[in-house]
Amino acid sequence: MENLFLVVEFAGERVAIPSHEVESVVRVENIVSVPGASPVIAGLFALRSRVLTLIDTQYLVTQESRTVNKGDFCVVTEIDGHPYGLIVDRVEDVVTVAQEDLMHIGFANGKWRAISNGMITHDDKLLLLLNSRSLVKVEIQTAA
Amino acid sequence: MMDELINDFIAETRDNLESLTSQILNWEKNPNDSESVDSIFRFVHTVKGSCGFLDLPRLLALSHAAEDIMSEARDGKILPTKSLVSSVLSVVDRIAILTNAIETKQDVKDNDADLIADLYKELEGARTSEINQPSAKPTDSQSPISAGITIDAIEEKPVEQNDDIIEMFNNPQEVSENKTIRVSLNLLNNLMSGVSDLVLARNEVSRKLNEVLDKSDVDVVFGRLTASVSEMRDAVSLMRMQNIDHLFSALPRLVRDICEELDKDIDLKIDGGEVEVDREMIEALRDPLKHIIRNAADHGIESKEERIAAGKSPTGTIKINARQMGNQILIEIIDDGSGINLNSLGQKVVGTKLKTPTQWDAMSEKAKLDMIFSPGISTAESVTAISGRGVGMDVVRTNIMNISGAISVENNEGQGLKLTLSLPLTLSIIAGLSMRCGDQMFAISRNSVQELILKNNKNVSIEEIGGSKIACIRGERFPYARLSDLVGIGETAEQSYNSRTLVVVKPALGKSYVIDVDAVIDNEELVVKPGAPLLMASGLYTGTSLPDNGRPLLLLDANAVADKICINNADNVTEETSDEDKKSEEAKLSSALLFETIEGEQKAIRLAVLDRLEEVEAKYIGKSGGIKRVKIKEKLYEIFGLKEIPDDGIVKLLRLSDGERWKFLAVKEVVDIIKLDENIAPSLYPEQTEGVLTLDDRQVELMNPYQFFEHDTAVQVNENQKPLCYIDSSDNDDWSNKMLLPLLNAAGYRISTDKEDAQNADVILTLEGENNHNEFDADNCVNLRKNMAANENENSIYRYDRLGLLAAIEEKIAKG
Repeated sequence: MENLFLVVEFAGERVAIPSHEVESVVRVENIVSVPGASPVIAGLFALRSRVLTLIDTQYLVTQESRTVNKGDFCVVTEIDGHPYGLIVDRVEDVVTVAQEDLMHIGFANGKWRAISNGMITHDDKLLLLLNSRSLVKVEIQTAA
Repeated sequence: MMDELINDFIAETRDNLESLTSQILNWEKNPNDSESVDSIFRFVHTVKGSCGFLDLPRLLALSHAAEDIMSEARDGKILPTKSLVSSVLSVVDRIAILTNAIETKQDVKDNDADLIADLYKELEGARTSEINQPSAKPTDSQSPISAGITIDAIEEKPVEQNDDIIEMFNNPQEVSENKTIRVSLNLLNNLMSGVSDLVLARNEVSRKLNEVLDKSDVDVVFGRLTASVSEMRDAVSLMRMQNIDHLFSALPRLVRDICEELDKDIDLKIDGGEVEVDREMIEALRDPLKHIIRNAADHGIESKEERIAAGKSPTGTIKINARQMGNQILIEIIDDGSGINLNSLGQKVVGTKLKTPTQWDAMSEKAKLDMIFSPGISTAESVTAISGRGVGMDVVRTNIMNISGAISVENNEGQGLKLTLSLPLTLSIIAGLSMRCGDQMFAISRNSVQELILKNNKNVSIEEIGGSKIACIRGERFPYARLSDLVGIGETAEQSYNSRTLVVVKPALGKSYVIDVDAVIDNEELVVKPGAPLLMASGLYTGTSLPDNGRPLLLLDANAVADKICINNADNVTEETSDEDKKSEEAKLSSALLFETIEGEQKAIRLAVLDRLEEVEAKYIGKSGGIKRVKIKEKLYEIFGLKEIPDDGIVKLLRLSDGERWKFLAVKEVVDIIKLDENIAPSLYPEQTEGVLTLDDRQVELMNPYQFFEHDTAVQVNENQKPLCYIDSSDNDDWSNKMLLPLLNAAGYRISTDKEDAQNADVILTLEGENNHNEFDADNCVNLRKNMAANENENSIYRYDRLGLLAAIEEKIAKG
């Protein structure tokens, strides 16, 4: 059995997102910031009639907020009925990974540990497997 | 295939179950009501038929047993006893549980055999009791369907009544006028968001179109697109509406169960089930309403003995009225029980240390009543199985507030209690006020906004004390904060300090406060979208919205902002609220809005009649029938104060309300809110001007709102209450048909030329030349003559003397 993953890059790391979690990849524009909220929220962005909550993925790893500019990529995903946009630095490609190249073991360190739940090998390179659900957990942000 | 059939079966059974309970209760009340019996029979019969086909043995056994009972009931062999009805209800409950279990694929371990045995035992009992009182035998309610079915009690038999099922489908009663189809909620939601997308796309196109210069041909097409898009949006939002009956359907059963347990007699009357509300609202109201009814039935309505002792009928009444008023739904729950005894409530409040006795004594009656919404306070004398543990009304109120509703109590000690829930029409659309703070836009629900006032208004001052700031508006003090500080936006360059606006916010709980924003932008209808958990965790926002400009808007939570300003000192919240209420009520009564009329003159009008300021595009204003009207949301309203209708641009209108109707008063500019003192000089024309105020040595007329409502063209007088005018003329009399009829009609009379009505007529008109003057009693008779000059000794009125004619009619009616 083979699995599809979208490979993106943020906080200097290549990360794989299970493709069934990815709705689309869009460039953001007209970001509305959310003052007074967790720094994990990079802002709001209207994708057609939906309001995406933009997630500063870099902040989750490095605790440093990034500035989101018009034209940056975000990965659109829906978690528990709420639409989110995960801000990423770069979007590579969708890759096919064989089941045996998929390891659900946490190797990651530091903040990565909280948001990844394994890794995959692709083209002889290791990529972190993203647990997108953990990105939007309230506990993570309060702990962060 | 099979799955689909089962799903259909579940959905259909569930739908039927909802109405079934009330049918059973109806049957209990009116044993001879063959319609109820038939529909219960039909239900169990259909379930039985489907179960046999779908191979659901437990449901089959249950429905079979119930069918036996109902069949005997239909043949008039048994009467519904209380215990029999209870058994039938428990079988129906089990059917509901099993039906749900099929869907969730769970096992229900209860034993059906006991229930069925009970049912047959009750059946036997019902038969015997029927023999004992043969006089009570109901009339036979044989219907054509029942012919040919003989049911042999306990013995299991194959399903074979397919013919009957078909026959039932052919039964005209079953064919409803409105054909409906079942649509999944998901699909509906998809459609909703699709339409929202469409609206946004339209707006985008509209913006782009505005940039193009020559677009005359496109405009027509675009107009058509706009019209159909908005039509579609309306239709979709209607699809989400559901009859409020769905909310009430569970209540009769609830009341019955309580009555049984507490041995009370309660009559539940439900009125207004045709009101349509958002389906989410129904879900949100279900529990609070149940709780209220439970309270009313349990410790509102007294026991039979107590009721008799109090001189009331032993049967208590709980009335539920639902109606739509403007964009609100009102639900009243009225019981004729004992009401709330303030003294014993006081003891409890003091007992639970919520208040000291002195505090309690100082509270107004309303504030005292409001204490029933405090946590830990129960209105019950004793804890029963049903209610009285003190967890209740506070939860009810919180739930109601969560859907931006309000609840109020009217106590009539010894005579009953009336609770009124006022709710917004839908959950997903709120009237919002958008405001700017730095480069950031926020919105707040308009319901919680008490007042907007410019910061540089001379009635406003900001005081600083102990490190916190207090805004003083016309002598009233409010906690004050800058919105930018609250949400933590860095101070933006303050270009125009002067134009800052203060928003006085009255949260659902606690004291009013003032937030200082750069500017208030607009009043708009906002579609509320729930915020992601991360966003909600900030505790500042209730959600987001996407206005027409396509930029997400954050909705501020009025209660949460209050917490941020740290004004909710839990100790005396309620008390302060009530004082506040009174104060703001008083303030409203004694304040007036100063505005500039279209002619440029400054005038004032009392704040109490003012609803809001509406800005309307001139194209929606028209003149018809001598009256200028504005079209707002498909309805026409009268406008005053507008001499000429401008060709384009925006017209500012004050919305005035007398509590029932709206009128609009055109203004050029709203200037200020002023406090009225005693020094109002009288006016010579009190119907137009209540009085004259002195304001900075200027004289300002205080308008009398009465004049706008006095001549109401929209008054809908009940047809039968209009006075009846009988015109004594031959049917084809031209003058009375062409001239008199329209005149009287417009003046608000009913008109008849039918001789039969002459007896009952309030006034009779006779025409010269029809020569039957003497036939009628002169007391209520008005004679009309053709010539201007009157003949001698003739008491008549020239028929083109409109005023004289109407006055004469009025006079006769007044005498009668």
